[in-house]
Amino acid sequence: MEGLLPKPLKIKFFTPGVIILCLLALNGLIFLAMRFIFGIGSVTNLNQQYPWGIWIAIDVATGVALAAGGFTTAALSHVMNREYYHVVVRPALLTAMLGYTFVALGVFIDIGRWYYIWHPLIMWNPNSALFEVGICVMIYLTVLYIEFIPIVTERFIGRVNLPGILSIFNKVLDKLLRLLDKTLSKVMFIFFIAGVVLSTLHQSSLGTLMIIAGSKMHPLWQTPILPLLFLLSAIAVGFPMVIFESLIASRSFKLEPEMPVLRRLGSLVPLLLFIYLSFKIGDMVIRGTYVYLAEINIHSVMFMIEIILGVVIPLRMFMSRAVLNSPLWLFIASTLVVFGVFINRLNNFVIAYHPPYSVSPYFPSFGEISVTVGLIALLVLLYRAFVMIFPIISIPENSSSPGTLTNPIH
Amino acid sequence: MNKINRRNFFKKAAAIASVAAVSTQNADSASTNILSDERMGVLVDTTVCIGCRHCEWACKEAHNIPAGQLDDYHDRSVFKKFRRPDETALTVVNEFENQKNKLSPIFVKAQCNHCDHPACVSACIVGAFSKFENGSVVWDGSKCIGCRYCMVACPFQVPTFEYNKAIEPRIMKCDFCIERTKQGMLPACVEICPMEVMTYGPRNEIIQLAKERISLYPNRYENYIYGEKEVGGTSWVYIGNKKMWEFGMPKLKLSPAPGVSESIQHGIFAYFVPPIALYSLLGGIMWLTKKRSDLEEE
Amino acid sequence: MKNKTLIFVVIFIAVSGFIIGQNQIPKSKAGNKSKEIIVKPNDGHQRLPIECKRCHSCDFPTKKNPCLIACPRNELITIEHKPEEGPEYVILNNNGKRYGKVVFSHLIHAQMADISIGCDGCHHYNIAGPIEKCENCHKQERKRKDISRPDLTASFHRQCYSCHRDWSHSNDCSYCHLPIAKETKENIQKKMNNLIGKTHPEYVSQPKIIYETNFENGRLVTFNHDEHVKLFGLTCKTCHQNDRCTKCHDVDRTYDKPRKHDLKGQPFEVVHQNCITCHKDNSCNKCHMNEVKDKFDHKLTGFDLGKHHSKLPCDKCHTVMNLPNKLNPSCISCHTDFVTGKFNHKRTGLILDDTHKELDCESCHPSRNFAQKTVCSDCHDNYSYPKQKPGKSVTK
Repeated sequence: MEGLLPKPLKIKFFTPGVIILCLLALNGLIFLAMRFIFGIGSVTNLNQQYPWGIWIAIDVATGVALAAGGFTTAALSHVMNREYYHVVVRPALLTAMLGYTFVALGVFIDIGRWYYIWHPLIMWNPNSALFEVGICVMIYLTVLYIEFIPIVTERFIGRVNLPGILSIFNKVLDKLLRLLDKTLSKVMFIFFIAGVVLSTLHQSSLGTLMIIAGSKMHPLWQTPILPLLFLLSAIAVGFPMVIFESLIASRSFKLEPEMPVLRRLGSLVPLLLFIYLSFKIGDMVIRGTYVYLAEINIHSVMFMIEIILGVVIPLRMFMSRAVLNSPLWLFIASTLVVFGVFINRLNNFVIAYHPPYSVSPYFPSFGEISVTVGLIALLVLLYRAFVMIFPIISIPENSSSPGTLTNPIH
Repeated sequence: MNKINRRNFFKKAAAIASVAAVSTQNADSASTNILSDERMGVLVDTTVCIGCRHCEWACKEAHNIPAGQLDDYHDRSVFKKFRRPDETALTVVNEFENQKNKLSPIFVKAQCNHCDHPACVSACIVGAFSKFENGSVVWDGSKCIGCRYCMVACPFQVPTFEYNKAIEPRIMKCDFCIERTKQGMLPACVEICPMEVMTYGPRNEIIQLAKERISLYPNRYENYIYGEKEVGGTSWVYIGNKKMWEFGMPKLKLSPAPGVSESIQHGIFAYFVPPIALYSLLGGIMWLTKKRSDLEEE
Repeated sequence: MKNKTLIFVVIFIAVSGFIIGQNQIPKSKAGNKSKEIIVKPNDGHQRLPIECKRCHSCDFPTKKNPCLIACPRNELITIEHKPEEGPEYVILNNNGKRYGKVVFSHLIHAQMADISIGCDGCHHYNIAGPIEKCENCHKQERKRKDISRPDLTASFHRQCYSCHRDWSHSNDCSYCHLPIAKETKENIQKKMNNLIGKTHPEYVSQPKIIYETNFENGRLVTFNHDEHVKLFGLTCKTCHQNDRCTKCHDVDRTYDKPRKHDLKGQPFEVVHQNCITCHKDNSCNKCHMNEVKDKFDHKLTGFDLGKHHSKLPCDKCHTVMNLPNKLNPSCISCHTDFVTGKFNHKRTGLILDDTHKELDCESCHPSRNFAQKTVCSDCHDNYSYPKQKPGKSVTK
């Protein structure tokens, strides 16, 4: 990728799409305010039988899975030292950082005593899968912030320009940034590896979460290898997610899609999907749970959607040259994988869960959906703001600004 | 011993990951999980219960939940709907048809069964649940963060949450009247029951008593003690003229609920060997590939 | 020589052993027999499930000499007394905290128990003697060491509810308890007054019940209820032990009477449980017939009860209720005092004159068959009883 360098994008922030996103975010924030004023019950459809809804299934579980692009590209690029992929590392890192921030935010709004969110730091229960997830996510989030620091220093070294009276700190701040940059560049490899290890741990622990629910979880999903399946699916969704957002971003920011890199990333996907699929099917065969597919109900249908639409079809698509060469088909294939993992997490945390005394099934309330959608909208807005402030997206060296934006996808 | 080791490993891991130092000095951070031989239990004889619901009233009185008048509890219309313990009632009685004698319906009281191997204790992220020496499984409000994982984990679907409180919502569940038993009193429901449906005593005696009753009156009881072995055994056990899952209780495996997840959890984090091994492996790969690419550059 | 002695000794031991063994067997047999012979008089004694020795000091107590052991006789209220001998009401729950006293209508309940569970349905495990206090076994404290028995409160409630649940469909405490607020002396007195002189209505029973069965060789079973009660002297609870109160007291009448349906598909022992406890040696056709059976006629057994025996209850003669065992029909097999010199002829309503007084019984009653017509013609021509009488008639 000669001639491409990450630079802050010089684009208009507000577009019609962005305004819609703002409205969605605002709507979500209103319901969020209600949740903090009147309690969780006032906004959600959660009840004594269904303690976890889409805030956990989508905001947290799916959020963690889709932010996996951060650690898979980090592994590929930093650990395996494949320089070739460096163009996608920064967007993936930003996605992971923002993604995990919103995961933490999701947890924060979902737990009843949000002001005690720090408790796991000092109150430990090593038997708890949730504790492992919590601790790992906290540490990983810190690691992600540290990994992001070089981007900040790159942007601001020599350019610290605080307004008014604060300008007296300019020099000090500049020196601090330089020092930070120097030290970090020497030890950054520790964080790169730590990031991968932590991701592996909590992606799998996230799968362990539902095992304790035992028979409350439908046998199609309840298996002792859930942690492995979660890890494998997270690894498999990493690259498709990077492709997915890279294609959206280039469309939105009017950039040439980085097809050569994406194509090579895409060619790695079939193997990862295949490993995931073979474990998933193998587990089903060994436990004999395919019998549940014979009966037509929400479980079997959702399982089939998850497998066929989310794994088998994209697996076949990623194996095709034509798909890998076409931005549109590549986008569709990636979207399917992302959708598959999203459905998988939703299935595991909501659909498969049937408590012994549920009188009515759980369906998320308007408020719940609003908050989830609002948070995602906020995430996208922040992403847009970040790429405008920091050097994230690589653009041709000679042009400082991509064309004006007229028709963004967002 | 295990716990301490694991904690130390955690500390080291934290250091490796260069996380900002966090105090881990909280002495009582680990929850108690004692399975004492002297733990207490309760035998619920569902053939005796008359559905007066005095236990519901007494329970609320004992736990500072608005209870109302005792006489109002004789209202039988509540039995039309199947009820579960919730944040306003830690125990409820439900009515079931008695096939053997339609005139005498069966009443079954539900509350926390106080597992020998409680899923909530294992699951809780901050160790807010403890199983004490007397068998009670108790929630500690000073730790709880309100994540409701205990509700996901509980095989009996017992813990409930105060969804409508914005500040200090509690996990509500039967605590075996730990405050009362500490003072030598009986649990409130056991004490008030006019029929002594519930017999309170050491769990091994309770099981023995259940077996005696079944063998003395084989026509009255189904030969099954619900809770003797379910999910590894519970402190509260039930007998009745049918198996308890005919009366709305879940049919459960006999292995402890937290067993699988704990062994997986401990497998992944066994003395932190797997994470550290992975860390070293990745480090090695990084070093090798770096060397190679440096060579290529030269 | 030595051999011979040895053989002698062996033979001696064997023979003596044989003799001793022979002697011992009849001894033990005799012992058994003597136990069987002891028969309790049929005046309530029979229903006492206790050893004679608990009350009597001698081996053979008689009415004249009952040889009763020294015990507080006036306190010796047994559970086998008639309901009317018990108290009319009992006041329970004297120290209730949440609910007040219960004025328990003991008499009516005892009368009901008489036809169902019996006194020992409530006063269970009560040996003869004073009524055991409930709290002797059922502790007042709920928190206690021995949890094998329910505590006092629970055992009372369980007793009540074992019947009341079926038909009252209420668990309202004030059904029995006075509310604490209304627990005044007047109210208690009012409740007690209500019970004084109140008895359970007399039970009306069908004299004859005809059951239709599926048994091929005899579809009909005629049960002569009257006979079993009046003739055979069975008590209600002998058969009605398992009856629920709802048989009579179902206020909602939702209880479908189980007489036919309940027995369908049940094992033989359950279907016949009320009959086979006594009729254990009878064949099916004893009861199963194709037509309705007549009343029991003693004439058919070969012994006409006549006017002298027809009023007697069966167990006056058939002492151990072994009805099929034929008794010796000759009068003196029972009436051992029907011998010359011992018998006071006045009992028959005829005082013999001096001439006839001296005669043997056989002179007038051939082969001492007192059921047959008296014969005068052996001595007197043209005389016949009762035209001519051997003495003076008196009213009995």
